Amino acid sequence: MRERPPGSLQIEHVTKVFEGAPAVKDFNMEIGAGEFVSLLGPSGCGKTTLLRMVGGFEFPDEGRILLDGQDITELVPNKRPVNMVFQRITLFPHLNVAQNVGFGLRIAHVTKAETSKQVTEALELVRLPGFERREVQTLSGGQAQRVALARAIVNRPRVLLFDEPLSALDLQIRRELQVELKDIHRELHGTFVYVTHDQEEAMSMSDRVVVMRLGEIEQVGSPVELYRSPASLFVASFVGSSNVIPVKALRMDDGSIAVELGGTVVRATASEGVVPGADAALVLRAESISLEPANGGGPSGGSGIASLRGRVADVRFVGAMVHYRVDVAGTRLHAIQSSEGSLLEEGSDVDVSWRMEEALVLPGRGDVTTPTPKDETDDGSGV
Amino acid sequence: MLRLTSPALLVLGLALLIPILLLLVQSFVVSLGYGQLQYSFTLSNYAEALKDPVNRSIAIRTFSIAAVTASACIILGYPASFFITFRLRRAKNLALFLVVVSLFTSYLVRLYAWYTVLGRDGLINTALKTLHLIDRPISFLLFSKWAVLIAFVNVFLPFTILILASSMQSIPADLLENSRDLGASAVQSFTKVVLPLTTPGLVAAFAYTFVLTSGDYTTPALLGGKQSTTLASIVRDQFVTFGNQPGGAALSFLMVLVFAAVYVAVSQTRRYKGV
Amino acid sequence: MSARRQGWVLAVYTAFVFAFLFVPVLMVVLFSFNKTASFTFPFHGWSLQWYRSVFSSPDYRSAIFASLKVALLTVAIVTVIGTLAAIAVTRYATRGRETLRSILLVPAALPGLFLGIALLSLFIRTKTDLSLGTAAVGHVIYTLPYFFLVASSRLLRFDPMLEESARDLGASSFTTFRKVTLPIIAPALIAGALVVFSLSWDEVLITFFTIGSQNTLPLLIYSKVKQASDPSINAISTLLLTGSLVFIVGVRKFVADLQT
Repeated sequence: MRERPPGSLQIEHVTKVFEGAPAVKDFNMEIGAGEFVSLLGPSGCGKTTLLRMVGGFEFPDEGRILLDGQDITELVPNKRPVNMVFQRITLFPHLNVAQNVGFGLRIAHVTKAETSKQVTEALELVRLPGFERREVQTLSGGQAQRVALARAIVNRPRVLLFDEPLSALDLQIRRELQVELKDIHRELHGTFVYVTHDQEEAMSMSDRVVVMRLGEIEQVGSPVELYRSPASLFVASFVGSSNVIPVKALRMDDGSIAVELGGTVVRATASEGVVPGADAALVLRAESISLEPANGGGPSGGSGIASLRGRVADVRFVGAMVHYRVDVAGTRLHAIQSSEGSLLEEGSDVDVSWRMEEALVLPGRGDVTTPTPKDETDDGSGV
Repeated sequence: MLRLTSPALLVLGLALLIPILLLLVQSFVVSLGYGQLQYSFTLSNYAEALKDPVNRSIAIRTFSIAAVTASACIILGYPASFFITFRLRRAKNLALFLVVVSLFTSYLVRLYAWYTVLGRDGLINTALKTLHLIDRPISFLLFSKWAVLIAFVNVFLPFTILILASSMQSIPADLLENSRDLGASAVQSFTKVVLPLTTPGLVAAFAYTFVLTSGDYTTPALLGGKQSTTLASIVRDQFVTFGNQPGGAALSFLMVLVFAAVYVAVSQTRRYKGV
Repeated sequence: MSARRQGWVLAVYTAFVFAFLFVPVLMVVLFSFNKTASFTFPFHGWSLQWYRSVFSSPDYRSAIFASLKVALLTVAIVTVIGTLAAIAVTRYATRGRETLRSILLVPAALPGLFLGIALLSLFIRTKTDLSLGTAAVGHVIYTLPYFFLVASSRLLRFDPMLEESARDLGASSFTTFRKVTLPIIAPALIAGALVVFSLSWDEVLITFFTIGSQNTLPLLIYSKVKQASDPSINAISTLLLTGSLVFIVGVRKFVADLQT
């Protein structure tokens, strides 16, 4: 199954318009052979449309799509060496598992014996050995998507596309399959392009993540880059749980910037484009905030540490972590802490502190109020 | 899309549209009787059809039987549909299947079957005699308006029940529970929730039954007896017996106008109700 | 308490409705086995004599064959053009779609009399001889909307992503239709074909105008009923009935598919 080398994709200035509204705007990107790239963004950002154009189910109005240098822009789906795992369960109900998985091979006139052999291999790869004769209706959601994956892989496509294949599954199954997908990627050394709106999913599996918004690329980078150095407010608020606070930028001193926050001045790392005197936004990861019960005296602080006095507004215990909402400096911050030790009480006074280098200042107005904690069932353990 | 539908459209065009247009043309042509036509434009066929007092009284009879049939189907069918949809669980599909079976039972046989029920020695008379309620058989049942009515209802009731049941089934069960939760009694839930939501189906069933009953020739012919003339039989007689195709055509187009008016009225109510 | 009584009332009422729907026909079946010549009460005993006279009568036999020929021809034509039309209307969301749909459903809204005389005038003007073929034309027009309804309702529930999957896996459009779409919608198409057969088998009015001198089974029955009381009518009616019902049993299986 590894004989065909994985392909590289060049997507050149692709634009697609639906009924006057652009779904994808001048999308330009290279995906290297063997990479696992996720397209991440909210509904309507164009990620699925782009994926479907790579798969051949939509055709760009402008631009080209090249596979290993060969132009596939106008090719129909059955002529592309690319396969897709669809969002809904699209196993053929009138065929059993083996017939489903071998469908593409039989179309390509592979002999029954050879098909059978490869089907068995594929099913083993997706951890469903012995499922050949099962009827499709008897499969669980997770099993069905694995069969769909086997069905796609067995054709040895140069690029594998995934259109939110796990979104309809239960959380537990989803987590399991995410891990397995990563394993399968490693075993196959394939080029995977994965569409999702779940940022945790994208971050945990990908080599690179493309954050999209309204048809355009907001930022491309490794998960760590996106998390630590978001290029825009949108990325900052979409990836991870961040607080975004409107502040006023004051002075720049070698790489760090002073901003005014609720009467105090704090320093933070400046991002590109921050202009002293202009409106800016302070981005603070929820995990970066430390909370301590308030001491008698004022907040202690220290060098490189910002410290403010605040009050706990809300406590949510979700297992390994606790989510606090704290009113401080005229705004409400979301903080996540380990639940070890005693929990802070609602209404109690706290010292709120963070390391200044972990705070980022981005240009633009921080109109985004404290986002509600993502994924209510997330216990922060980050599987 | 056009490529795929073209065979169907071709067939419909040739075998439906053209004949209808032909008929329309014929209705404006002078009839010389016995199939002879003189190709000059005239409105006389329509004028005569409308002016003839016999036509008018028969039209009234035809349409009133149709209206009564349609109403009876709805009144009789509604409680049955209600029971099947809302009160049966496992038996529901079986009940609906039986209704479908009844729908597909041969139309002709069902008509003929009334001979055995309504006739002088039929089921009803025999039953009444055995119960000593009558001495002599009732003869007015068969070959009368009543037979026609009963037969019509028998034929169109299954269809009405299916349409009503289908529109009732599309009401989510939560809706009714919600209405009870908000304080409505069973009767109120019915009148305020079920009834309004099934009105489109009701209206559609009425219209369809009305139209098909008005144009029905076979039932009155078999069961109506001497008083059985309907508009349909006049059209047939004009066409077949008297060879007056223009006259028959004109009359049938007048009927189609009535039908079209009914269908348009139905679609208007649908829009009014915002469905 | 009153709710429960209300439940009982409704149940009994519905039972009466079903009795009303089925009893007359059951009577006919019953009397087809009657030993004596009366086709009304009282019932004298079981006998197959009427069935024997039906099967030995050349009139009846040729009528049965005529009905069969017309019905099969109708089914063949309607299944093909109806399926194509249903695919077209459910797949392609163009503006003409709703009008096309209404056009395809029109014949069901017109009384058979009207369709019959319209076709008759066409055949007269084009000097076409009336035959089983012309009768079949009438049947095709009459049954097309019903087939179309069955087929398009199934196609609407068909997930287009199944076809995209097949294309993705290398199948051409035609292969996709053949190997994926058709096998999946086949039960519904068969149900539709059975409906068409049933409707055609029973059709009397349009046939009357378009068939000329031959008789189909319903036409024969109709003329016999009008003429005189011939007890073999019960037997032949039961046969007519069986023809239209045997197919219902088949439809039930395929309706089960429609509900999944």
